[in-house]
Amino acid sequence: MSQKLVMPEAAAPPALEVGGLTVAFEKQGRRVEVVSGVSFSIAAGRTLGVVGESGCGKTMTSLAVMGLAPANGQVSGSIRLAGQEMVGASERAWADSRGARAAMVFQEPMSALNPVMTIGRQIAEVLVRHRRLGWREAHEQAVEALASVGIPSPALRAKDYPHRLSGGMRQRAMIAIALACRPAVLVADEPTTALDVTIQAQVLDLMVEMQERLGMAIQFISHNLAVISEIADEIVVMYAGKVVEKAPADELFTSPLHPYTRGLIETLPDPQRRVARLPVIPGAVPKLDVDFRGCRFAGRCRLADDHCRAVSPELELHAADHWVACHKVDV
Amino acid sequence: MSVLLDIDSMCVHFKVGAGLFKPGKTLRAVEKVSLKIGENETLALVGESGSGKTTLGRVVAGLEVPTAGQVRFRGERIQSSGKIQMVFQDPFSALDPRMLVGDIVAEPLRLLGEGTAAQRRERVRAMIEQVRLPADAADRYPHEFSGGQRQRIAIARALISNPELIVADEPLSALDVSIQSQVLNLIMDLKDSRKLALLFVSHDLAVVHHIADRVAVLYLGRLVEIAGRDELFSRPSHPYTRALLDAAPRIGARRTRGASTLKGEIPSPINPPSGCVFHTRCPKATDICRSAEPVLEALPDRPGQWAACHFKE
Amino acid sequence: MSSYSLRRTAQALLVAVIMSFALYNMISLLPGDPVDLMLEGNPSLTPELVAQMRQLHGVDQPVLTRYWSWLNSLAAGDMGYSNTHFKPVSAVLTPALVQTSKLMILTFVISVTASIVLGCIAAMKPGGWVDNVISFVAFACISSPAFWVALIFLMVFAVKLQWVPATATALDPNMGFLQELRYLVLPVLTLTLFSMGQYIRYVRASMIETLNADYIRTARAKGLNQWTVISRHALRNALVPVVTLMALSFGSLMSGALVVETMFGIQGMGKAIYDAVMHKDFNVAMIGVLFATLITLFANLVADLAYGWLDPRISLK
Repeated sequence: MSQKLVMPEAAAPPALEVGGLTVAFEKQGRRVEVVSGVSFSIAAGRTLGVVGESGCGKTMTSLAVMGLAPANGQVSGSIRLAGQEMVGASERAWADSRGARAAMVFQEPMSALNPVMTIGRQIAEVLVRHRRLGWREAHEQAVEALASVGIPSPALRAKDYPHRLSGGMRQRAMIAIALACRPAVLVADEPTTALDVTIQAQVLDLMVEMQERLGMAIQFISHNLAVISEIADEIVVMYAGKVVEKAPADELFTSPLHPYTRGLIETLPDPQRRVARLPVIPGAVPKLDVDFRGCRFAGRCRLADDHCRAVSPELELHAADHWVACHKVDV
Repeated sequence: MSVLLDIDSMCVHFKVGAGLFKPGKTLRAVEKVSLKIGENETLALVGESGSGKTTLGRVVAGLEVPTAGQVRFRGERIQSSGKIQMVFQDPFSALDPRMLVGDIVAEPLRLLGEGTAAQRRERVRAMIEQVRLPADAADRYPHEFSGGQRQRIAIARALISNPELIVADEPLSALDVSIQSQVLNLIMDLKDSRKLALLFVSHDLAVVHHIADRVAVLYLGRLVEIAGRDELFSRPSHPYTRALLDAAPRIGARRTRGASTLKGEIPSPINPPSGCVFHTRCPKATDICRSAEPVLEALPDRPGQWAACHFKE
Repeated sequence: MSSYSLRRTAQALLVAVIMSFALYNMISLLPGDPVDLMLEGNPSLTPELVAQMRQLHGVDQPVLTRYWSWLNSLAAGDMGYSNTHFKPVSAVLTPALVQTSKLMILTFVISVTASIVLGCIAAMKPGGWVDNVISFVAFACISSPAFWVALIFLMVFAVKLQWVPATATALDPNMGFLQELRYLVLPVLTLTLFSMGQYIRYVRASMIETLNADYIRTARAKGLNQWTVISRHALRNALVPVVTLMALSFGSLMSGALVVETMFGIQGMGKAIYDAVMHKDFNVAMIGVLFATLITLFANLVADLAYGWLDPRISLK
């Protein structure tokens, strides 16, 4: 997997830098790559949107970045958190980094919070683990953390159990847990998908606000292109385990290059753009346990020819910061 | 266009938490909602958690009984006549995993006692073709199909009894994005070819904009605004409608911090706020909003658009 | 939550009273009565004397009347008189109860602790060799009949190796506790193995399910180490269903104790009740069985309350 990383001299390393990340599993004797040669980087204070459908590997990528990929998965490639290589690091090194240098927010706040532990304690625990605070002091800071994510009556709320909070509140609490130690990277896996639209807007606002305040890099994973468009500075489009397109957000939506990206954008109903019949991407997302030859999207692509089906395209630079993996894009 | 479905001041209340020594509370899922659906018309029900849109859909489909008010289909009470059918949100749990697809699709006919077994098989075969599933689908089990295909099976099941009205409760939400448009196109094609009326429950405003003729906005069980599709999207009258439209993510819009975002939480339908139930979050709320519940009224210069607000625009 | 506790306790008492009535009736259905026994032992009793004795012992009256007077006496604290031992029932059963309690409590504490530890270890790597060994041991424990296990232990440890005494009949109530332990080792071990087998499976299954929960992944995402994740996050959640099962099975420990008591010659409740039923010692049997019922009811009650205490989502009823 060839990608040139252009590093400006004498600049701090990006908060997160992923190079050629591959996560593979053994399934009935054959090797299945759920994530295949994925590369991207996020600078401090910037948000990278990772968009794709089920089976594209976006969740596994985010878990690998946190060192939480399942134990039977083989992770190879490079993951650098603030310049420090984490692939192959000991479990101890990973545990020290999780919660302190990289933190994660999950999709379902109800099941992602321990139902028999108070919210306050779940936040305090991160502070005790990484900041070496006593429990009392950690608890005070936990209350402050709840206030900073906009939860009213934080001192009372800290003593509540998760089921007493509404969905939006729980997600704010999760964000408070993740940001308690001011990590450099926040990985957010579909954080607003399970929330109502007006609450989603509040939580997205909160994430933008916290980013402005704390300066962390955000890796925002979603299947919802519109949400990604609102919050991401750069976007990575994934399909069947690979990155097919990578570009700054505005650039991606004004001139999408990969047929999948274009198909995805066109297939969404949009009040600004009225059509009688929505364009459709035929077929369905492929299963990963087949031996791929050639481009993984070829089976659904209008433009695919024999060359596409035989040779897998590499991610190549097309325009400024705009990378595409497709034979059919005019370079 | 004649009126197919007439809902008049319907309330659906549930008793929750009642124990041996506890009286329990009332959950007001739907509160005094009136609306009509005409033949071949698509009415979208839009709202968030607690809006009552799913409960309303279930009452129309005959799965719940209203606590008060009337629901009339062609002037009569809702009966299991196969004229109203429902498509559910989750294609994975809506189909009995132990039944063959052919039996699943044929079941409404069997329950209505229509036709012989051979006739039913033929109708199933025709239906499966219409929903663009492979011909051998009838002899397979649901788990052999993808989410999008299962939703097509559910649609086939809903249409086989030749209904006049379909209630679709978030039929696309559980599907992959690239599949949603396939199923949406299918629903619209079938709706047009069969002249179906459609009660489309959804929280996704972009989809609603694509498919609906009229849109009804629900908040905490109340109908707060109802209007034609274009009017609702271009000139919303109720502040909640406006907030929903603002909050809906759109491609190309960047998140601006805080300015127009609606504050506060959705109240509980067990303990609704006084007066106008939206006043706790409404940027325009004043004293009258806290004490007096507004009535759904027509907007003077806009036919077909009604809103329940003391300060509607 | 306290109104819930009060209601549950009232419920339990009500059930206890109903059970006592049912038991009383069942026992009185047994053929023969205490006077028959005396008749057997003394065939020269005349029918008039027999009738007199029947009247004296009150066994000629209808069941309901007898039950009512029995219940009244019980409420006043009088548990009745044993016909076979010629002592008040309390004097008969109290020492037996002490013996059985020692056995049950020791067994319960050891089996619960051991099974929680072993179940957790097994759940950490399901399918691994440690898990396979522990699961096999648990399976073996459940499958082996208690009396057979007892026999093996006796043969090996008491007879062959002579580490512990074989029978507890020589138990002197004034013996020191440590000395007494020597007599209790084998019976406790036998009983423990059986209940441990069950508990290990419950703990393991519940822990495996808990470890798959989303909040465990969140806990790991906070940088907590494996041990903290298990002990602080997983354990309490995993134990919620297990604790109730354990509390319920405490009651059935008593019947298991019967077999063990017989094998090892311990003068416990099990033996006392068995003897009483066989000898038609009405009063002892009644109190003994009622006691066993009460233990089970109490265990049920504790299980319900514990469940409410452990899981904050439940207590708010």
